[in-house]
Amino acid sequence: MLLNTVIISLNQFLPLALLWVLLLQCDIGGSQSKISVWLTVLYCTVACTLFLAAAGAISQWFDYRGLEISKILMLVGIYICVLGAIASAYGSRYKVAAIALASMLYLSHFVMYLSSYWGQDATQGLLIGSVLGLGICLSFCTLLYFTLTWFRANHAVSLVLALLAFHSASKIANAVDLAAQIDLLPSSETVFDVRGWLDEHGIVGRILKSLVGYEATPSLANLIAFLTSLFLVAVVMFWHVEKNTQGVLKELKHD
Amino acid sequence: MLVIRSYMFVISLFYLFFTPRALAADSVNIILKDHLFMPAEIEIPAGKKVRLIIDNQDDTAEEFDSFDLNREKVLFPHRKSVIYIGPLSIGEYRFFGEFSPNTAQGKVIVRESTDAP
Repeated sequence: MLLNTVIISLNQFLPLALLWVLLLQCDIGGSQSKISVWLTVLYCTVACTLFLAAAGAISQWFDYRGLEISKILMLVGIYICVLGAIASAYGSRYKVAAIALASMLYLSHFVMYLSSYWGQDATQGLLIGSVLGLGICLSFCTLLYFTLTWFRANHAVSLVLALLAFHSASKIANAVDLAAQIDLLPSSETVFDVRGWLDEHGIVGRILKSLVGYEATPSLANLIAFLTSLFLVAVVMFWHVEKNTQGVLKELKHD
Repeated sequence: MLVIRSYMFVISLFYLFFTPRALAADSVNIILKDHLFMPAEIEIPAGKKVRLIIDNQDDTAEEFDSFDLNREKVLFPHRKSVIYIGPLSIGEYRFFGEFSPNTAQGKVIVRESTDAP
């Protein structure tokens, strides 16, 4: 139970924490606006609680496919919010919305696990496992946060933006997998298999999967969705960098 | 406003596409009881899409997980869940309950025969 709890807590905390760190660190367009940590935590708690209360009933909707449909909408919502955070003047609102959606998606899953097995002679294992998982996740995200700060300080913002682009594109790829799971999209063949080289269920594979959407055996639909959404977010980023540069040049000319 | 419109468009697309496909696949029933999948082994024909209907009769939630099938789904207590698998090539594909991986285990055996469900 202890080891299982560590793995489950890592799987659920890491994507949420990584998104938070990446959104905090991206400095482009509307995303330059800062977000209030406590307000975000409050929104996450409310969103997660509401989803947990309704998740059982939602799972029975649309011929037992309601849960996947709601998750697909959340994943697409996160992607759109990241685009909004970059392109809109109200970047902080989109950042908070993206994190709240991610908490509904990932945190609710973990709370569901905890609430199911709490009090069944496994409380100690659950508690220690959760603390360990959360600790590993926080350590990694703190390290990533300061690494990204260093990149920004050394004129490598593009690397931070690239990570955010990959991370957000992976949400669309996940949504496509979920759509195939409930037959919304046809299952397509695996394009390549690099499990022998790096398995996505190993430690490094899991981190890369959470951070940049690494897939050892992607389907064709998954790969197309990933590349298309990556292209779109990259275009939005370039457009805003260009717009900001033109703005700065204009101001310099006026001076 | 543009973001909300895009979101509504995506939602409409899902409503548009989700219904007709459901009728195309065969169904296999699996029961989850006392953290055990019953039957633990299911046989399905190669090259065919199959609908797994999993009835979680336990008081606790479980997560159906399969690295081989690339499937992952929360099974709520005392509720049914549906997962589509395939078309698959001949072989064995393992699945397990992520919340109780030591007990909840099973496999999908894909055979050439035409008399599998």
